[in-house]
Amino acid sequence: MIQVRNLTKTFEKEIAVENLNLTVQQGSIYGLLGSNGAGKTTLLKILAGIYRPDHGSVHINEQPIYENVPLKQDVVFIPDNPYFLPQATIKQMAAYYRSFYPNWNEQRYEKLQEVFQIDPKRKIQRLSKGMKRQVAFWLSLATMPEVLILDEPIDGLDPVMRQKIKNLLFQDIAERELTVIISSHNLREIEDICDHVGIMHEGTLRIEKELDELKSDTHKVQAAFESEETKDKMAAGLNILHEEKRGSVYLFIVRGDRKEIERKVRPYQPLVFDMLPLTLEEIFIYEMGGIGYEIENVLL
Amino acid sequence: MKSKMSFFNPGIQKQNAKQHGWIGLIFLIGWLFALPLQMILLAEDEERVLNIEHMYDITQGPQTLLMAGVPVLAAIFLFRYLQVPDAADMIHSLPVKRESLLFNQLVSGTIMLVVPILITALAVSLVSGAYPVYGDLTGTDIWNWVGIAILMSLFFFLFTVFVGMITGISVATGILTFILLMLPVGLFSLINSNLALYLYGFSSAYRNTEQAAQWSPIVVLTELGEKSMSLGQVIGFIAAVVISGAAALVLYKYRHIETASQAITFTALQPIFKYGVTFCAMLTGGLYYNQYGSIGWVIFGYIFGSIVGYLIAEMILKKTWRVFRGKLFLGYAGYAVVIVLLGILVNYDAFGFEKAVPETNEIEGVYFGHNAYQLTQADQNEQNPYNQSEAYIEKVRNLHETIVEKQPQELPAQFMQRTDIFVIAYELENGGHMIREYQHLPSDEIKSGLKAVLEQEAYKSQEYELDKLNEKVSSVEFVPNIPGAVQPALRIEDQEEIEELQEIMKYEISSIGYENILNQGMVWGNIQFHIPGDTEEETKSFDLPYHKSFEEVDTWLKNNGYLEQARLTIEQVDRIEIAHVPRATEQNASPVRIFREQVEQGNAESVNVNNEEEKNHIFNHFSDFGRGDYVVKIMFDGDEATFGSLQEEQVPESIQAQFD
Repeated sequence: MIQVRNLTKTFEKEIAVENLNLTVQQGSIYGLLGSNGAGKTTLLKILAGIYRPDHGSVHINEQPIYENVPLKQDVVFIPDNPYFLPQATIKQMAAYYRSFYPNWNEQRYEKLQEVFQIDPKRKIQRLSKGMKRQVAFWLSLATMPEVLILDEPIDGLDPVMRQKIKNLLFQDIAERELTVIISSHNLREIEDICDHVGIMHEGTLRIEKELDELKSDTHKVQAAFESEETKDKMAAGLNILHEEKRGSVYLFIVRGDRKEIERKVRPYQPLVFDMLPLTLEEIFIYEMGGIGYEIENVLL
Repeated sequence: MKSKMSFFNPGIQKQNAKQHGWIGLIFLIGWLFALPLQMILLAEDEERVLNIEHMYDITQGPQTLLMAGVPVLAAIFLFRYLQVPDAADMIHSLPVKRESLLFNQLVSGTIMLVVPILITALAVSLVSGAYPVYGDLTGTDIWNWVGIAILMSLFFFLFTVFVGMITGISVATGILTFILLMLPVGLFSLINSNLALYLYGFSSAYRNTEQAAQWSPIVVLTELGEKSMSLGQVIGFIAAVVISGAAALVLYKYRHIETASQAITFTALQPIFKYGVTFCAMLTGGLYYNQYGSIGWVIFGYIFGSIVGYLIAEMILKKTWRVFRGKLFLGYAGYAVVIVLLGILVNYDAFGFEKAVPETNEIEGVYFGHNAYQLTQADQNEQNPYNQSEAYIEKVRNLHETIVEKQPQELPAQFMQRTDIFVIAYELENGGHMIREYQHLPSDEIKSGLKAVLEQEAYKSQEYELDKLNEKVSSVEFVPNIPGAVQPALRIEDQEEIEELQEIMKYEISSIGYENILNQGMVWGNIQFHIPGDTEEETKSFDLPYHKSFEEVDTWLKNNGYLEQARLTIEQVDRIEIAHVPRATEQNASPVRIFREQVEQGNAESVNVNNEEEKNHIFNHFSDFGRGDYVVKIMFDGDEATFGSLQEEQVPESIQAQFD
């Protein structure tokens, strides 16, 4: 479990992370969203024990991470631009990691070679960006981490590889209760793997939600009514987040149980009635209401 | 098991060997070329006479370069991971503590530096065994060298590591290392020479750069051949190694990893860096423009230098040349206010420096002389240069008080003669010292005080090293100051004659007067006394001036028939030309220059001196250098000529009349 309390980090005079609180449950995948410069990378580097926070604390499994060697042996960070030792081959890099991580699993390392299909004798610097990222995953997963911190990990991976990596993550989560925190500036990229999502903006965490709950709780309703009055009466009984009119058809974003909504709308005999699932992106935009304009920029 | 593994990490060591091993290899190759290979070359060269007593006789420059250069390089490369943001992030995300990272890098570096030195020492001892010419090179010499080479290499290595913690740029690490190593000496001499501009009586020669430089590691390295390191220096450098390492560790623990690629990694150090550079640039600018001799230009130098320094420091910190913002000038204005206040304090002598004269009862001893270096040397040789005579103390103190009260303007000067400088130093009751130095004071204003001091026995015995005249002298040589005019120079070896001469010299010096002491150019030459030692090398000698006022010496020489060999005489003079050029020598320009510029260019008239008596008088009174309103050209038989100056009262009135 990752617990962040009142975290603040400034660079010279710029505030990168401000009074941020965050909790990630063990065995879950937490998606950290935000535009460029929102402070995601800074937060992740503090979580990985690289940066020292100015204020506040970061605990993983109830222990502070900074300069905590036994804990860091179970935490692996993959930056958005993975760094490898100059001139090192995958094999040499694996040997280097082996000297740091006592839980290094040689069998796993060899097995993962079948997944990634890269010759371990190749020099990493000569590999493409996507392949370097695969190597980073390969090495990281072989250390058998309890917590995996991923900064924009999907960039540069082809769809097949994306799926493979997602499967590997799911497998570790299921088998060993791996905790993953993953950042992205694009919600669509991670909506199918995260169970929690937080949105950062200007150094603070603006929204933190559980995805399943959100998805089952918000609906897009399209309906047409005989008169404006009927619509108003109907609307009064619903928790409407957003409303707009397209021709004679109204579009509502409604929060609530699906059946319950249907039960409430039917009595007003709508001329058109249709209930649609929302994309995660839409849910966020509508959910945020007042600060939606900020979030919209973040997500699209 | 876990903690042990985290401290000494074989993975890091292996990686360092792979990534940075070349540095050790270069070090080894460098040493092999600089020492054993060079030894073979020297020994094989049969025409060369070898005198190798220690390792620095083999090569010097390359050794300095290796000891100061490669360790800095090693530190920069081994700690480069700290300065590259991606590498810094990766390494610090690994489960390893910073102290362990530092420890492992230091171990790698030490191995890289020490092993080549040991291998080289082994090779040197093999080579020196193979060639008999290296007989003087003992095992102790080699071991001493190993110790010094390791010590100095580790010092440069660890100091660079320490500097690397302060900065986030690899290149800056190297530059800053050498700047910081030179800075104490440089800053010392800058402040020293700048204070001399403002504080009347400040002696910049007393605490001189040379003295400060003995603690500069680079200077110590370049001088290893001439003087071996003292025990104090060795201990000092060992301490510096330990302190650098400890400081690096502490800084590393506090360092923010995100400061990689920033010029200065600790916010608290940034203003120190900024204003430090500004200050140094200001002092340099002021000193540079001081050569034009006007205070306006010096101030211009200060302003210009400080602005340039300030901007450069700001640009380095911000890593862009576009730093011109309102706030920037506010910072400079703050600096300027502080400096102006400081300048006012110094200039108006807020600390009472210029006016201070110690009370008689506070004075233990006194020194009056013409060279502050004498004091420095006496300190080093543990001699006591101070005179305890109460009468002398009183007279020097009186002179000092006159100078302090009148504060006569120092005259501008192009050339300096020894007696243009007065150094007054007190040894105080409380164990402290007070040193003042005055240059080119117009002697008229302080005449009575100065005369009282100069005619004291205490002054004379110090200035002319009179006690040496009591020693046994094996030979005396008269060295004329116009080369080629008298051949050969006189050499006296008869013991009886020598002793007579010693007595006469004692008398002459004890009776030499104030004017003649100051008129140091009015000499025939030098008299050199040789004091025998047990071996030829130990033979010492000292010189006394053969002043033209030493009539007893003249008489003695004449009586013994030596005069013509000892000095020029009027018989050798063919013609004398004299010109009246008032004030021309005020800046102490040389007579030959004045004669060429004034007389030969037709700017001043000259007359030939025909009267034998006048000729004789002028010949017996002209000075080779020094102030005077008349310049003369003396032509000897043959083509030789010499030039000199004369003061008004030394010129016969009949000649003076010709210029009216």
